[in-house]
Amino acid sequence: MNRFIYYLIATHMITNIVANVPKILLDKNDKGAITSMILGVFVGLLMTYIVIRYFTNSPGKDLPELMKEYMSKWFYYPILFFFSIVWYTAGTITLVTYTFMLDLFLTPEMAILTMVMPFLVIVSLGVLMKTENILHSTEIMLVLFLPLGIFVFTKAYLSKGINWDYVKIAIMHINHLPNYSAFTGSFFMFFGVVNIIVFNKYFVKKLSFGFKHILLVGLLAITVLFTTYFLPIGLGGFDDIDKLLYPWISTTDSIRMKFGIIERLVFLFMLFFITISLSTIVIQWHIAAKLLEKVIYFKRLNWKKNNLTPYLFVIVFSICAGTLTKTVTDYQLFKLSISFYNILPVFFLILFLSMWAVKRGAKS
Amino acid sequence: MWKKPKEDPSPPDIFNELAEKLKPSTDIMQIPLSIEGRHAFLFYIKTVVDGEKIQNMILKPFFEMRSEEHFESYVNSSPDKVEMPDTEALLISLTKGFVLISIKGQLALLDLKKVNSDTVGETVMESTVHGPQLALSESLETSLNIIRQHYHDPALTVETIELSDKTHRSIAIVYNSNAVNKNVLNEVKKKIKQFDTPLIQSGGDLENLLTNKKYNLFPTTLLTERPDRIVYNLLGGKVAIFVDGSPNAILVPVVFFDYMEAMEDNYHTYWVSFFGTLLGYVGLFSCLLLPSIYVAVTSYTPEILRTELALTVSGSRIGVPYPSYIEILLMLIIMELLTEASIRLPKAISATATTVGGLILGTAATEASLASNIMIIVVAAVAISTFVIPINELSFSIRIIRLILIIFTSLFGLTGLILGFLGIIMHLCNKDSFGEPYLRLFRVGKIEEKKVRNG
Repeated sequence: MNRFIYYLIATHMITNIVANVPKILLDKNDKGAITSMILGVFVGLLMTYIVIRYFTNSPGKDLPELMKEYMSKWFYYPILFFFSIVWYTAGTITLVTYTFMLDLFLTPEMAILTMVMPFLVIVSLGVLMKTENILHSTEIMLVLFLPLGIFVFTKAYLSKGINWDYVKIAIMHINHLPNYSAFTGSFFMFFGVVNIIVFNKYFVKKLSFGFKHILLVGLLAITVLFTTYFLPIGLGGFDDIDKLLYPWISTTDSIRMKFGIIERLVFLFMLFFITISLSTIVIQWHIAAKLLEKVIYFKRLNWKKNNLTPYLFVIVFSICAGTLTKTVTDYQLFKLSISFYNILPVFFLILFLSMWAVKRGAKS
Repeated sequence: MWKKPKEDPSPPDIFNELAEKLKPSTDIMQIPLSIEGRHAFLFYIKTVVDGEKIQNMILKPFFEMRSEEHFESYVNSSPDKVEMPDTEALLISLTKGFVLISIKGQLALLDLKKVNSDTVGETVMESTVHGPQLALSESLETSLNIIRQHYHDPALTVETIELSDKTHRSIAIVYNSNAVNKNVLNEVKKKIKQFDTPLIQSGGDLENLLTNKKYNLFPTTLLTERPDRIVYNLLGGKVAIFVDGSPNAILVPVVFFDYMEAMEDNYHTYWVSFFGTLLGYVGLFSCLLLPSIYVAVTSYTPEILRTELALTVSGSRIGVPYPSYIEILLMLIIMELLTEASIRLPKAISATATTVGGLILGTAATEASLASNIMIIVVAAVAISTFVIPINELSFSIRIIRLILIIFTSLFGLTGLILGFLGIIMHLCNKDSFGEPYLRLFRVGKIEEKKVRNG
């Protein structure tokens, strides 16, 4: 199951190429976006290395299990609850952002609730799957749609619309100190690896993770961040790119396929991103539900031998996400995601502390 | 034996007892044989036994042999002799075509049944250009004979179980004892013992009973009539289940890709097979997605197509008085009716159905502005590609899931189409067939994984 950890990392990165990260980075294009990205990559890789190395030592065990073994109830209940909220928020932000984006670019005349409904239905279906099957369905989605992704990205990079001079201008702004939001935004790209805290249950074989693998993840991250940041600049210019609401989609809409049945490349991009984002949202909500299950579990809520607690969670999740979609505006959502990314370091601090506590508990 | 009676011995009591139970059927035969002081009694049901065999294997030797002892040892060494069951099972055996013989008060049971349905038909459902052309037979023994003749290996194990339903049919479980997955085998046996239905007539019945869930859309067992497919799968460790009276075998456990594999694929050169497989998948995706794409593209996002094409599509819909989803549902339902009719109709009338159907699905519908020209092409393409799927169990399921996808697309547009499609993939991923995951890529890794997990 070695390959699945890369799927977790890759799906999360690809999902965020179009969501809020480009907006945050481009917003800070003359205030240190590039240095923040570089810093983000280094810190992200370090975090990836620590997390994966930590979990390779206990193959087949997820973090809640380890915490239950080595930590007091009073500590790990609130921590798991907090983690669950973090994952739910991450998934929900992706979901709402994609809903807004699709409503804006794909079917503008559709009501926003109608837009979010299919997502909620299919994501709920996915969240209720067995954990192992989620990994496999992610694999199938990647195998089915990654060729399309590679095609559209190649097409985008080779398009005549890219003006590399703008990219050069952007690179000129390397001499700024990193910006905190831009840093957390690019750091969020590496969030996918933390999914291992639940999925490690299925990584039974000892993961080998050395320099080569770090390099692989690093290359992927650099490519993804480069695409996130420089592709819109190359296509849309440097100066006013921060004024766009969804800079990535707006700019790639300028690419045409002269001889294709689908002329505007952006629809292929959307097809690709909807697929990848769906698996990301499913993974994140699934983890949120799994973590929550450890804290709140209604033993009596049975119906025909099935415990209904996960179903209840999914309904609550869906209602919250639906309400959020209905109430927030694009700007509020953007602000919300920035503040979410900004508290991420706190989350990682707590994660590392609890990992350390488990290790200490295991030693003594 | 004690003193022989002088007068002719009467048939044993059990004969009368059995005759009493089988009354008033007129085909019960109770025949006393006697010559020169030698006596024997036969009891059988005339309509299920082979008269010629009785003549050659019982009557002739009886009259030719010198003593009762000779005849007794002759009968006892017959390859058709089976062990004597209790009275209740004896009755069932008699109705299956067994002959009860009594010599000197000793009873023996011989299997002399006659099966008129043991002809081997040609393949109908899964025909190939190359490869074996003959299918299985409706008689269990003939089918087993075919499999044994295709697969000479002592590891091939045949277990016969009698069903506990009202008709007491035999079921054979066939597997390669070296390759078979033991968990699956045990589960199959457990399931078959648990059956609680009055009547099992065909492989299809049994298939539904073997499946856990009541409301199941995608098949989790594979029904096949091809001996080569059965042998191929037995070799791969699957379990084949045969029902007496049904010309099909059930293969378990299955994975999704089994349904997409035509046996023909093994009989061609690499690239020809590759192309064939590719066509299968193109057919699968087009018959699943085309109608929904039509709905999404005409009603929700025409701008996704290049301008000329978008104009052609909407131009062809001029005059159609309802939205595209009604158009496509109408046409698809007519197509499904036509397919269903041509399956059910007697062969003599089926030409009428196709002619009338051709009119409905042809130019008449477009001239009446009930459907657009492009719609007709879409429906025709869907109909054709449905038949490309190698195992029609899967294409039956696709027919239904396609309608669900159309409804989802009609409600939510292009997003609905994509998400619905991904939902189907997730549903398939979450299924299992006898504990084995249904849809997986790269299965070799999976096997390694299992080994690791089992220690």
